[in-house]
Amino acid sequence: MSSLEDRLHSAGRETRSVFDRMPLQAADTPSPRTRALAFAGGVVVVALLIAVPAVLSGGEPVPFGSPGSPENPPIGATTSEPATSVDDTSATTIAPAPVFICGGDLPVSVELPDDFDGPTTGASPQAAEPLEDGQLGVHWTGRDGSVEIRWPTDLGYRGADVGPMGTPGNVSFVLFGTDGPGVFADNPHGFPDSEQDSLESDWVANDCHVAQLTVYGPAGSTDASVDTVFGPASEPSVLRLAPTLPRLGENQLVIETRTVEVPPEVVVCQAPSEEPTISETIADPVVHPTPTEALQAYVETVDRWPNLGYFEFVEPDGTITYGKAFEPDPMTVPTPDDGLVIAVSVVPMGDGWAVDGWESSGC
Amino acid sequence: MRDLRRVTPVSVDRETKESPTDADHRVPVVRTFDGFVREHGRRLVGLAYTLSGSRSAAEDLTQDALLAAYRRWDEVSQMDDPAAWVRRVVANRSVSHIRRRMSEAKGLTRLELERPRPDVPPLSAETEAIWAEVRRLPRRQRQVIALRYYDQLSMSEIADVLGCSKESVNTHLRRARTTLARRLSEGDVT
Repeated sequence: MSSLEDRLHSAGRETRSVFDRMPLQAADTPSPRTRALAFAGGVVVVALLIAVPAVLSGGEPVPFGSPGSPENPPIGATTSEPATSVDDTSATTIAPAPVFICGGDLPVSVELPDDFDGPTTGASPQAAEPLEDGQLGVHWTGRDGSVEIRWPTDLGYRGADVGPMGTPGNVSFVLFGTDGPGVFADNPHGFPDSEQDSLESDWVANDCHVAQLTVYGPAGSTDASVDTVFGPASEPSVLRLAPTLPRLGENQLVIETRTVEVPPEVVVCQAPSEEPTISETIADPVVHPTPTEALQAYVETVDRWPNLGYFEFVEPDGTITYGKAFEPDPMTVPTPDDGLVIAVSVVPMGDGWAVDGWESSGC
Repeated sequence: MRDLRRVTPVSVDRETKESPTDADHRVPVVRTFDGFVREHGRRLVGLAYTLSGSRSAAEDLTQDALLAAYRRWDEVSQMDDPAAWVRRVVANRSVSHIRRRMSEAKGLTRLELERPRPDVPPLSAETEAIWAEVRRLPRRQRQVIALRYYDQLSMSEIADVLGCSKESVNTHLRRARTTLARRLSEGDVT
């Protein structure tokens, strides 16, 4: 049998060989996403962006924000009248005053922590851009920032297959409409390069299937993150947001240091049953220059462990325990006084520090 | 968010124009997006596949990463290594449970993508089995293995892609090899 190293290299070589020979797909293949991935020079993303609305509606490609389809009414048309073509000047001129393109009420109920005031109609006072014609804007104001939803999105998004940005830290969602799979959140790690949080649809059937959520941090920055979003797939939808900005800085591995006699205990997992905690003693500790570097390096090796938001408990003997606080309600600020879900022991070792064990609720 | 306004027809120019080059044509002064895609696209799909295990999801994940790069191409193209940035996006998205699930779901709605593409031959059973074991590893270990053995990156390059130290990469690699050696030995497919 070959060595592991040989087998891995062989697997890599074979996989490269297969994918490197993957032909370019023709630009007229049925799937717009495949088309966007065609890798044929010059057509990659533009083809995707233009083709998506057409494919989903079964018609010809529709340019961004193009009026004239029932699913994509022109700005200024009423929601109660059939949409009209821009070529139909008489219909355009007799249209009543502009109303909201998608309606005047958000199709979801939004819940925010108690210290947010709202909802208030209009753009967030922190927004750099005003609302566009026909766009519904609603915002909530908190102690350190605000949350704004725009429906439909700003023009730059409309008609595009606004897939998730892919930048770690962003939150992207599929929302609105009856054919969507529900609401998804993806901000598992809270990476520091978050720019914005937006409600987005990967299956954009029409502009009203996409809304735009922006969380503004202090001083109007949009570098805050949304910690948790819940949303059922079926109506009525409820969007619960637990912005982290009041309590967690971006890229903050350790949020608070406490001197204690004994660190808080790890709580027993409550669901589905009261399973005992799990723990491990590290057989081959890896030494790092500082305690936090030891923690950082270790948590990265463990699947599903967060890499920020730890409390640091310094014990009299110099031992340090890093703990992730139990969070009984994502809408409240977690405190270690309620117990921990992860406790990582870091001890002096050699010229540095090393993780020598951990305990977890196992939830 | 405002920079996404660049996703407009104006951007067509960015895709169709040729790369300006310096006088002796040795080094591109400005990288065009389409050139980047031609150079790296297939390899990115492969990386996404090794981490996700689904060809349709891999294409979707790669496309989304490329779309993200396209949207901020002015910024990404100026990076020392734009491919490292896109690899990072692909690698992170490919090990995100929810991202993978969404991409697979989208693939399922496009049945044509679920049919084996005759122009993309299957991998051998041995290779598939190895990647399957890799996908069982913790996410960072998965990424390190794929970047090391599929993308053939050095420790430094992997550290750059993942935004961590070389020491951290070494730790992940060592742990991953230990686990894989045990598991592949137990369920040897050779």
